[in-house]
Amino acid sequence: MRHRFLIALVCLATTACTAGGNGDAEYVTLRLLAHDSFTPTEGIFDSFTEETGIAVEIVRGGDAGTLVTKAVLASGNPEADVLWGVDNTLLSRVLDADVFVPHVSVHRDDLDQSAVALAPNGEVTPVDSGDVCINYDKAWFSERNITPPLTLQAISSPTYRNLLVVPNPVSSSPGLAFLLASIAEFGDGWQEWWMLLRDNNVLIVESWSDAYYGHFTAASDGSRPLVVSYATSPPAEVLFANPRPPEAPTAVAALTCFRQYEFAGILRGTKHEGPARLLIDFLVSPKFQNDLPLTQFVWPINTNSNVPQEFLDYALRPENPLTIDPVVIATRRAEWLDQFSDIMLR
Amino acid sequence: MLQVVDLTVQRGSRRVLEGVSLSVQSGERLAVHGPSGCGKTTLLHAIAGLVDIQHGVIRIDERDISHVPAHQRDIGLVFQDNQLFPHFDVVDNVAYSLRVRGMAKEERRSVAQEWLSRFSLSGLEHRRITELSGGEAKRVALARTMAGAPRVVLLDEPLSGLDDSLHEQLLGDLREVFDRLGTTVVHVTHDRAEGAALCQRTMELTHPDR
Amino acid sequence: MNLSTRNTTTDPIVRHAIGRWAAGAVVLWVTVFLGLPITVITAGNVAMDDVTRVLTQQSTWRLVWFSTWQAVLSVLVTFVISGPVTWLIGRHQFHGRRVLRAISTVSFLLPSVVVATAFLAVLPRSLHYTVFAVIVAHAYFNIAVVVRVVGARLELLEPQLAGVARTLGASPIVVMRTITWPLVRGAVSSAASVMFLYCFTSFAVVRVLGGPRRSTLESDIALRAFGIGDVGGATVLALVQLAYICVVVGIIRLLMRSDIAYVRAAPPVLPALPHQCRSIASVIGSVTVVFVVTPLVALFWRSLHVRDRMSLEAWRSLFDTALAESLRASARTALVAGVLGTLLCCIATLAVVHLRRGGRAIDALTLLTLAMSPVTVGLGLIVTFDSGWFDWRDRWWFVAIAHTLVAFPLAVRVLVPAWRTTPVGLHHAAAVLGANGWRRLVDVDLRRMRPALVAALGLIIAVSLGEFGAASMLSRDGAETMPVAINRLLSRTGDVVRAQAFAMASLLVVVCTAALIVVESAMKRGDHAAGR
Repeated sequence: MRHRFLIALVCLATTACTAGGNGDAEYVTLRLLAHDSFTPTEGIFDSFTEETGIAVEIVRGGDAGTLVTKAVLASGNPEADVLWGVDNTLLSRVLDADVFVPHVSVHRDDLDQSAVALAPNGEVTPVDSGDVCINYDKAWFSERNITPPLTLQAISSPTYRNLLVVPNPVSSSPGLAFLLASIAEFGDGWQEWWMLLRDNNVLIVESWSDAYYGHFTAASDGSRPLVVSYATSPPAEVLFANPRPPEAPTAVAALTCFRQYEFAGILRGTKHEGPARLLIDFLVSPKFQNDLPLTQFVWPINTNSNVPQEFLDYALRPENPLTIDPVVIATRRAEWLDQFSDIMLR
Repeated sequence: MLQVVDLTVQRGSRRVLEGVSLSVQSGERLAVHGPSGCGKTTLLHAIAGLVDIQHGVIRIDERDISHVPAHQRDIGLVFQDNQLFPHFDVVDNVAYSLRVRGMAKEERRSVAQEWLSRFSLSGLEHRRITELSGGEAKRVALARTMAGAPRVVLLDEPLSGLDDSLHEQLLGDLREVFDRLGTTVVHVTHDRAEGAALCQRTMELTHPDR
Repeated sequence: MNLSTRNTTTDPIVRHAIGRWAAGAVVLWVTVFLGLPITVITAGNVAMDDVTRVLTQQSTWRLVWFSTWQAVLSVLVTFVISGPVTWLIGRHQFHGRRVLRAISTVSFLLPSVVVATAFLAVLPRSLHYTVFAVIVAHAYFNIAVVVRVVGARLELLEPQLAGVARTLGASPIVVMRTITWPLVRGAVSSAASVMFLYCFTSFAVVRVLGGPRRSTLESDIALRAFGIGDVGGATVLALVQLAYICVVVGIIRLLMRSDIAYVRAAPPVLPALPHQCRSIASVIGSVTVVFVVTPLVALFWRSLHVRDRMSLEAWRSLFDTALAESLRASARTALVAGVLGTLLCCIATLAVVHLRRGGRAIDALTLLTLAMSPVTVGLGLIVTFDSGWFDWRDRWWFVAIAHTLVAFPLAVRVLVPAWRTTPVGLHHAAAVLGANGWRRLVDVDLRRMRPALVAALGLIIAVSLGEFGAASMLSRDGAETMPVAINRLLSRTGDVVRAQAFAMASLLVVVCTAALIVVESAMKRGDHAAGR
């Protein structure tokens, strides 16, 4: 009995030691580090592997903030070869830390140039975009004959008292985007506006999912018909529903939107820099970009890609979204978050 | 004097004791024999008040104590396996009954000291009880019970598990102490010679089912 | 049979040699996987400027204050809630006792994200984002600690001791004060320390149920590190937390001197529940069961609903996709953590029982593993084991190693009492037969310890199955454990995805419960082996 126990131990120990190291000699395998929301269609990389002989292993490493912190700590000695999912609110953190190898994609000219301009040296390549906006529950407002708010300014009016739920900007990326939207809109007056919101009894919760699935009337048994979410949330409401409703139960206040771009880059220190360049090119190629809208509810960055009709039917693309230069975000983000915390959380 | 009349104890649906009666005069020592499992220990626990009785009466000096709580009965019980308090040293074990009566620390220690010397335990005052030999532990248990000066002492196989010379020695010590103090004793044992050596009278307990 | 039982092997030289080797091994393990990462991340990221900045910030001390008082209150509330059921389980034998004990332990093993979400579902909205919600959830987690730690001690407490004391003239209240309390005090203080640590470093519960306005040091560490990117400041906070906890635990230990377990060879046969107590006992039992089970039922209920509609879609799609992979990853990680952890805990137990002062130090060290901020340790591990042969960042078993440390303090607390009850007579017998120290260890101790070992193994496996913090820092695709997968599903868009998260959480409850049942039946066999 005793011997059997010991043998079992030894066996387990050996499997534990060997199981990690079975690399495939024929292929280069690239590790693509991405945030938790990176959910492309299964097998999307198969054609890339066939063409180039490069296999792709997706590695998920938490939310975007966690990803960036870990990437900065591991700068020069990365855990993976390519990183997907740095957005413009976090961009300068990685640029300052010299995390990426610059790369000019073969598709560069086809990409949304305003996004490309955010990383002019090509350290990272833009891969998709989306907007963070106020979403509202259409039924809730029509039943009560109240007009939904169209602007940020409107939300602070007493009409919308007790109606809005916001994810915490300190811990949530859409929350931060919304804070930045208010700063873009009101400039130095942003703090006064938040004070009005506070008096208006805005609810701040930990994460986007707490807000949306915990309090938003259209997605939970909550009591808040206004929520900070994505401009692509309405199509998600339709396309994820079974059976699909004829129209989305929610809508977006277009003038409240803040544009987020996501970027991918080659992690400095990778042993497979050449293959990694090919992968970045593939990520911004129409083939991959076409997959983005319906799997991840973001807009392709490649202007040559085809956005599926059903996505176009329900999704809103605000024409003049609010933005702030990433450099300004970088220098003032900590200060803004601190001021925000002082007003709203303490 | 201790009197037990028609005592019945039930555990669940099982009768552990049925219709047991006995009577012990003041200063008398009674040995109780019986096969194992016949309820000897339960009898002692019932007299001490540690198990509820379903039927019958227990009297001390004509007073009915059947439903008096154990700590007010003034009956000492020496457990077969001693049950020394593991968190006290030897002297604090012996002084426990004095402590719960509110005797001051110095005073109760000096009383306990006397009992220790009476049971040949001098010098072991501050020994931890895990460091005692079997014979020493038994003496501490006896001294602890006697220190409370109970009106009746119940002994549950007090000398089992000791080797012959220890057995003889402790038997002599006990007889001497009980004679001197005129203690009333109920002594449960399977060893008839031991019962005869310590007690004046003997009774047989039989299994309730038979 | 020898009447006295001693709690160590008899030969002092062998005893010391074994103890020292064991202590050395444990210290080495903890140093490499805990001390080193903390040192590396501190050295690489903390400037003097960070230290002064964090220490002079008023908010730091506000965090310390909130962490402290909510933890103290949580501990007190836990004792109040779990007191009756612990007494019931620890002092009485009754039908369904083991089931009740297993149920009251399940909650502890669930990922806190899941429990917090379940509480949101159960609590009325007016109680969301209140300290009340945080404290009730903490109590929910910690019932298990009291039932296990204090209950186990009560169980080993000889029921006849109270009887002796009564015949010596002590009223029930005096018995409680002079006999029972001193004998369980060590267990109470041990449970209090563990619970204080869990609550003080609470992360997900405070974030989800307390709302953004309430933050413990630990949750602020995560915010700083990931939300703001201030790793230096986060590390300083982690060190503040560590120092503070050392002081507090030291004080708890001084105030309530931990006794050297006064236990007997075999657990005594517990007295059956007296008739007159039956109804009150069934009330206590059912209230506890309802309290523990309600949030779990809520999880299951939600897994069956997509939006307002009853639907099995989540379960169906779960079996199609992510589940198998996560189950495999979880099973693999838990198994390796279980085996490694049991081995490590055995070694630690050897040190604790064979060394006197050193033993207490090892005991304290196992507690300290709880005081380390998992976020900081996770980041530390990433920057420490990052090159050449030691680049373990993408190794799935790296998570298992982290889990051995997380489960450490609990499993050691299962093994030490079991070891101490090994009767000395067996050692004598083995010594007479000529077995040397090590042989004796294997032949006598290990064999006797088998049920306790199985119990520790089950406990570590269950902890590993439910652990989120370390796994989320280190988890890799293809090695994404269930709690990490649940958390990812919870943060994604789509009602079905969300229902999937709840379905997976329900499954996790089932798997953890199964692990617990193994633990329970192992303990049952242990009781038989001990002659019951």
